[in-house]
Amino acid sequence: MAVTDTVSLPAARSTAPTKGRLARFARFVRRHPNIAIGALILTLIVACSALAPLIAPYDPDAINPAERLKPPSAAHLFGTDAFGRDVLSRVIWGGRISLVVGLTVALFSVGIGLAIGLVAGFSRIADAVLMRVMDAMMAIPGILLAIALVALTTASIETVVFALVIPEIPRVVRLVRAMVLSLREQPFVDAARAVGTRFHMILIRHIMPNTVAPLIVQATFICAFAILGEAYLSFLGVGLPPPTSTWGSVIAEGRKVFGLAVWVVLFPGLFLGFTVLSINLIGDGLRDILDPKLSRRQ
Amino acid sequence: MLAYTLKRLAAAVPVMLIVAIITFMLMHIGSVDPASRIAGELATPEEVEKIRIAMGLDRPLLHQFVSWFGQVLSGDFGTSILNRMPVLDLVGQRIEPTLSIALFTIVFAVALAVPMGVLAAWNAGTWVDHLIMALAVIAFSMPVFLVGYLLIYQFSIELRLLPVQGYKPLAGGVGPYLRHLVLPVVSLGLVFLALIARMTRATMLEVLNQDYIRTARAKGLGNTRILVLHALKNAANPIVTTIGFGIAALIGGVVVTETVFAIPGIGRLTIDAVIRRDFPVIQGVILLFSAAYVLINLAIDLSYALFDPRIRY
Repeated sequence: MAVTDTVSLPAARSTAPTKGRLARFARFVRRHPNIAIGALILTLIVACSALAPLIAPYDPDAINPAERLKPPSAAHLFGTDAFGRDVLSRVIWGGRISLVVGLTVALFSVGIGLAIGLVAGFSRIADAVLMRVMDAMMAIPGILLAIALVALTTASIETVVFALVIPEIPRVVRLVRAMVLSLREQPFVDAARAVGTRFHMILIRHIMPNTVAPLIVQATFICAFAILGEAYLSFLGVGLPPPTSTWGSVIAEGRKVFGLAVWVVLFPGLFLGFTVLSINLIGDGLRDILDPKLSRRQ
Repeated sequence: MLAYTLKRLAAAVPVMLIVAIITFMLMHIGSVDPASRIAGELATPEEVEKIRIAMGLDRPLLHQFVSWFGQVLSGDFGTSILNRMPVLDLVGQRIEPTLSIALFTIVFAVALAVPMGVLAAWNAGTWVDHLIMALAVIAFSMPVFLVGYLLIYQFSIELRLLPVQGYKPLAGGVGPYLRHLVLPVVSLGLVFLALIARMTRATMLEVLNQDYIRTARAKGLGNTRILVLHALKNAANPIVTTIGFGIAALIGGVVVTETVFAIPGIGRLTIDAVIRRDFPVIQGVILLFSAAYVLINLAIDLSYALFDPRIRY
């Protein structure tokens, strides 16, 4: 596992300064096409969601019985749903919640996981207890735990985020703990200790920076997973209550009319899938940079 | 081996105990009072109070936990609030579809993923590798319900080859049973397939660079023999581990798949219980699923020696 700070971009180093930024950028894209493709798709989707009030052609909640279940046309590019609402507008607006949930869950999972992992890595007693708890949390299927957590409290954006964060924490804790266990034996930590650096400074200045890069990779995967998780919760009817619409809830509503109007399920599903895909591509690309051994061996 | 097995079983005990505590606490963190839930919406406060005392819900938490856990250990998971049936009977009624989907999904995913991963590793860096890995990351990212609905649309509604939804028990004949399982298994299996294919490729890349592979090649062994007997056997353990960890994701996926295909399995049972706040059923299902996960991963740990004789317990 790449635990040392080997985040070097060969492209940046080997290019002559005269070539300029554009050439360096082109070279980066060539070397890491998955990051480039992922970033492009994600930028488009984020832009769509951010600019929703400007670009959505209709009010996403405007009911129009005369236009119900119309297939895609020039007036409604993605068709209309069972209430005559414009699916394109609902997809554009629905992305906002999904993206915010994904990002928030990733930040909280990594933050909490990092804190617990550092404690587990440094205290033997805490380690024994914490790791059993983490094992138990990993044994409970994440989606089931999330469903139960949301359903037994009152569904709101906070409880949905909370429910998706909890099952992710053990994975981060394990990663951080493994890194700390190997880092604390490194000569530079001994050296810091020898010159009298205080414990919390060793932790903050010497251990934590070395965990950042793998954690960023992990955070991208958690983000992708959380976006899917939120959609699954909404789809199963235990997500954010109406009138809030997310990709998952648009799909859940489309479920009943699926045989008549495949587009109500198809388009939000594709947006959801492409968002997750783009984040996974970026995550894969970042991991390749961090651990070149895995991808470009032969 | 026996000593190791017992040691691992003993290590699973605290884990399951913590799972039980978490499951038990689920009922108490919520904003819903179990006693008034059981009493029903028309109950008076006095009736709710009576039930609270009868159920022991007025006693200290630790007290409640011990008596609940004692019952669970003796095989009594309580009774459903909704239809007054024992939780175990409810689960028993619904287990066949869920188990069928899970087993066929694992077989389907492993049967395709391992050859795909090996092929990608063998052709690392070529278009074959890129194509397989691109397909894997797409399969990994697509939501189960999108794949499910697209398959239903194509194969059931347009081509009319397979049933749209539902489930037919094995007792009703093998033909209808299998026909109803094809689409759920494929839509659930894609994610799993992608996961295993990626892991197989990564592990195989590592193994194929080892000296003994070069030796085998130098001895003049055929590619198939090298790949299967020398490389794959050594790559087996990480792959099997991935399958084990994937079980948790698989269980989550089963819940969604059963909803897409309207299959009356444990996933549907759980969702219905959650929506109606049927606490004993939720607790029972989570406990049973977690126990299954722990036992499967224990079995996988023990199977390492099977693939790698260097591992001795």
